[in-house]
This record gives sequence, C-alpha cells and structure tokens, in this order.
Amino acid sequence: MKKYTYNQLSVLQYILLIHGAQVGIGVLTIPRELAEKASTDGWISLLIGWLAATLVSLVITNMMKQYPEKTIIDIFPLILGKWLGRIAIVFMFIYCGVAAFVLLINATGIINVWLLSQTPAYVVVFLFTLPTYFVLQGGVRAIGRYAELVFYLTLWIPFVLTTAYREVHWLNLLPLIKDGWHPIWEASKSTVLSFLGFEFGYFAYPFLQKKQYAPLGIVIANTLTLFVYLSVVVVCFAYFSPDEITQYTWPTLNLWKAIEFRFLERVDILFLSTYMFILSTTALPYIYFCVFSSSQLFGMKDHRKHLRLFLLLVPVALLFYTPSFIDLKKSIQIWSFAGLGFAYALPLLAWGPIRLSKRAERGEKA
Amino acid sequence: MRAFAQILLLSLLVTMLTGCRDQINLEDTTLSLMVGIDLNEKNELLFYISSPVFNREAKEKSEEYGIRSSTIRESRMGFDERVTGLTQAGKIQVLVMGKKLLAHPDWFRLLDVVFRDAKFSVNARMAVLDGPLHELFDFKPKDKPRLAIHVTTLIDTANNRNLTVKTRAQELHRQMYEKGMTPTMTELKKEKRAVKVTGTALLKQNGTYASLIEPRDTILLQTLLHEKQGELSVTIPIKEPNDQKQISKDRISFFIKGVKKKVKTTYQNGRFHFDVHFNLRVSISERMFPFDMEKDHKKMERMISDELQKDYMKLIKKCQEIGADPFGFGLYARAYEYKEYKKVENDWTKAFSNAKVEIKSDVSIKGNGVVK
Repeated sequence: MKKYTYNQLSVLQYILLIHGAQVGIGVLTIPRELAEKASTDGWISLLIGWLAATLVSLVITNMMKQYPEKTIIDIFPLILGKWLGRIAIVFMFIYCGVAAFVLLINATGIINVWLLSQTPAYVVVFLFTLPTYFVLQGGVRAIGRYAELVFYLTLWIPFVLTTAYREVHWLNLLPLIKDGWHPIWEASKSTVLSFLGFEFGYFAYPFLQKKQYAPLGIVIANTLTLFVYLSVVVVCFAYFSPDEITQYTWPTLNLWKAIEFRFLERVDILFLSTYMFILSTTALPYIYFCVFSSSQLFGMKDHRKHLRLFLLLVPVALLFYTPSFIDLKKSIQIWSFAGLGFAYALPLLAWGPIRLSKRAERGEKA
Repeated sequence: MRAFAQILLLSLLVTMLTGCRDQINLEDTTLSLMVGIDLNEKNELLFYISSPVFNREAKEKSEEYGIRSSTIRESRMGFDERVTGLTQAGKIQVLVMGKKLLAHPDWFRLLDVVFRDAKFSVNARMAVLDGPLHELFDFKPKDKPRLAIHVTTLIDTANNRNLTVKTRAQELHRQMYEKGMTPTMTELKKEKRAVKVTGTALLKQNGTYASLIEPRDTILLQTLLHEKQGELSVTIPIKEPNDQKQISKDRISFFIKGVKKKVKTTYQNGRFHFDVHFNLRVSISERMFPFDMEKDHKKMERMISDELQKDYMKLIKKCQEIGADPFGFGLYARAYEYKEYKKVENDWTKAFSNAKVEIKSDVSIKGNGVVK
C-alpha cells in the first residue's frame, strides 16, 4: 500500500528540494527583466509573485492531502479514468522533460558564452550527465540530500557579494513607485514564472516523512526563494544604474565580474562554477520526475533505464543541433508558458473537483 | 567488474575535463596588461599593447607594439602576427585613450568588445593621455618596474591619496549610460623622464572630453562622491595678518578624518536646488604661521570651512559652465524630484548648469598634531 516509504524525505530536505528547484536560471536574468518593465521598483513585483506562488502552493498541498500516499502520477488515473489519466501522465512527462532539457541547454549556453567558448555544447552537456546519473539513480531521497548539500555549499555567496557593497548607490532605489502601480503589475507577470518549482509539491508529498509540515514547508521554501531573489535584485539595482542595467543579458554575472581580490582576479568564474551546482538542483528534480513519470506510465518500478536513455539523448541531440541564443530565449518562454498551465492553472482547476469527490466518497462510507 | 566500469567512466570524465578545447598553456600566451587606443593625424585608429615577457633570454622585460586597425578585436590579429604567444585580454589592467580620440563623440563604441566578450577584463582602469600614445608605450624607464605595472600602481596609489579617480571599465559603462551624471577618468601626461598623473578628466554626457581638474580639486570631487575613501590631505592658504617678510606662505594642511554629507534636493521656480551640508572632522598636520590654537580654535575652524566652501563652489561652478556633472547630482534629482527630473533627464547637464548648488561645511578640529 505504502509505495514510497522506502524513500522518505525529511522536512528540511523537502524544503530545500523545492527551494533548489525554484532558484535557477532566473537569478541571472531577473534583475534585467524586472528593470525593463518596472525600473527599480521591480522588487515590489517580486513580493506579488511570491504571494501568488505561495497561495497556489498551499492549494497544491491541500489537494495532495486528499491522497497522502500518492503522487500526481497515481492520482491522474484515479480521477480521470485509465485512458485520460494516461494522457495526462504523458503531458506531465513532456512538461518535466521540456523543463529539464531547457535547463540543460541554457546552462550549456551560459558556459559556452562565459567560460568555454571553443568547447562544443555536446561535450559540456556530457560532462553534466555523468554526475547527474550518479545522483538520480538514488531516487528522491538522494535528490533531497543533494539539494541539502548544495545549499550548505553555497552559503559563502552572500558574504563575498558584500564586497560589491562599496560601489552601490542606494539612491538608485528611490523614489518608490516611480510611475504608479501599472508597471509593477506588468513586471509581476514575469516574476510569477521565477517561482516555478513549487509544483514539485505534486510529487514530493507522498515522500515526505511528516506530512503535517507540508504546507509550512512549501511556504518556507517559497520565502527562502523570495529572499534569494530580493537580495540579488536589490544589490543589482543599487549597483548598476537604472539606465544601464537593461544593457546586460545576465546582470547578476556582471556584478561578479567587477569583484576583484588581490589574490583572485576573476571571481565570476568561481561563482559561475558554483552556480552550476545551484542550477543542477533545479534541473535534477525535473529530470528525475520526467523519467519517473515515463517509467510509471510503462508500469516499471525501476526508473534507471529511462534515466540512462534520457541522459544519452540530450548530448546526442546537441551533437546534431546547437541551439542559438534566440532558441534559448524561446525555449525559456515555452517552459514558462507550460509552467503557467501545470503549476498555476492545474491545481486551481483540479482542487475544487477533487475536494468535492472526496467529500462524496466520505459521505458514501458514512 | 562493476567497480572497474565505474573507474573507467570516472577516468574518462577526468581526461575530458583537461581536454576541453579551450585549454591554453601559459607559455603560449601574451598577457596584454595595458592597451591603448589613439588617433593619428590622418584620423586613423592606432592600437597599442604592452605585455610582460617571461623569458630568460629576453633582455627587455616587456614588449610593446602599436598597429593600425579599425577595432580592438581586429587589432588582436595584428598583434598575434607579431608577439610570441597568443594575445589574451583577460588581464588588462589599464586602458589608455588618446586625448585626440576622446574629442570624437562615438569613441565609447570602440569598447564594445570589452563588455560583450565575457573573457575581457572589465576591471581595467580607464585613463586618458594628454599627448600621442606612442610616447607612453615607447617609454622604457630603467628605474621602474614593467611599464604596465608601473602605470597601474601609479593610478592606484594616486587614487589612494585622492589625486585622481579610479574609473574601471565597468564603472565607466555605468557612468556613460547613467543619465544623471557625467563620466570621469584618470588623466596622465608623459613627461620627459616620467609618467605623471595630472588629475581627473571630465567628460561630457556623450563622452567627449570636456576639461581637466587638478589633483587638488579631485580631492574635493572625491569627498562629494564617496565622502571619505582613502587618505584625504588638504593644504589651503589662510589669510592671517602678517607683516614680517618670510619665505613660507600662510598655509595650513590637515587630514580629513571623516566626512558626513547630507544633500537636500528641492525644485523651485523652474530650477533644481541642492543644499549640500558637509560635516568634516579634521586633524591639523602642518601650520606655516604662528597661531594660538588653544584660544582661537573656533576661529580657525571657521577660516578653514570658509576656504573649503569657496573651493567647492569654484569647482561646482566650473563644472556647471563646461556642462558636466561628475558629482552625480542627477541621482539626487531622480530620487527626490522624480517628476521634474523625468522631464529633463535626457539633457541633464543643461538642467544642472541651471541648478542652484549651495555648499555648507562645518569643520571641527579633532587633532592638532604632536607640537603645540
């Protein structure tokens, strides 16, 4: 009956798994995206995005509470019937697969621009796949532990970043609400997508040891993410001029470029290498739940066969086709759009019917 | 068998890491430490590099080349044809512009590669040379370290004493795009036997050269920009009734131990008003005339603050006349009078030259040195 007890997550791992999945490529680009729309008021939009994400997260945990021992993959056939359920699983599998692929090619693209301009993309992505396999073969618990480890490993980042504080201009943040609330609302649309990752509430719930902490945990994860984004955005706004920041594709990386120590000249390279760990905590859960969905679809217990296939397919795909920077941008848009459906719309639409059917069930029993 | 396969896989991974195609050996590189761009009489672009030579057989410790080219990236080709290794831009310490080049409004576009190519160092100090660049790059002083290192240290130490600004390439990028302030950079001059820091070059909104301010005025500019940063030592003339004939002039020197700056921004009758209020804590380090400090220290404080106030006003007036705002008053205007600033932001220097700036300084003498 209890299918997932052998592979349990502690509350901290659950929090950091979701938090890790949220903090990804967005950190590098979000200061520019917000500044383009709302200038230096963009940080207010983040609060709106956080509020929306947290509310939907609570809906997700509430929905999953109705089936405490099941992931979304097991629930789909229950409520939609066998065939419709299967189609839904296929969609879920495609969504996770697309997200994982988008993350991998974007990480490769950034590496190709910043560090290894001569190394072909498929070599870089092949270097990613081997460690990925070692972590993912261990299942959800290994991912949880990995997310926890990476979290500790990246705690130095805010301290080094304080060296940039000498050259910040806090005046840039004033005045508050420059041109009214309209641009802030506009910008909050793009922040809604930066919080993507909480949809792992669909998957992680049955693995959680102490299920009563699920809603609290997901709120903490979202808030932790909010703090990361806020600190990055505020420092970038204060460091770059509001007229200038839109010139940079990845302002957060440029911030690191300017930091220089007597004994270390290019901190950005060090940061970018560490950043690959952070990025991996985003990509890993998507890859895992992609192969998890597909192997469940075929009724297989072991996900490793599909995992090997997936990790082989990505470098092979890149061997034949290297995405251009426009493709990368479009791919993120596609993922964002899909995320809007799967992470925001799906729980809001499904919550009502699930609650009603559960209540009816209980009524029958009584 | 399984362990063997894993070890094989891991060693494959390790060999691939070193084999990335971006690998380059240090002995095959030529690290350009100083790069210069200039215009000749025929308005052709000239590019210069100076890079260290790490070779026991070579007598000279650094190599310098100048070539004609049209962009920085294109010039790299020309350098690679001449220098021993492959030219690398990741370690550039100084970027020197010819003064003649800075007369052209689109010179900043030449630096595109600095910001576009992630491998370029954006931490290079920006400087302008008064005179033709080949004089600087041909300079081989016997009593100094390698030229590029010498110039780098010269700018850094002069900046520590606040005799000039230290504008790194990334900071220049900010100043160029920031509508509320105008860029500044270090100005150098090649003298007969030395390279000299002559002060700070003020640029206009579009980046063209506007004027030079002396090291003395740079100290004032720096306190307006950063309050206290590094060492601030000021010498000013004090008028004290004195009928004796003497060789020393009536000067007083002091360290500035701390600066507190408050700016009040208002908009009245169609012009911006900036009330700058300084609180300076100073310590006297040199006094060239007799004075009873114990009795009259209040009077001395007033005299110093009057003199400083006058100097500040003179500097600001000068900047307003030439159409430059190196102080970033526009940032205050944007922060506190956003509506009015928005109307003039595209021509901020004009609004600034029309603005009313008032400087008030309160000096308090905290130290009088070791002797009375």
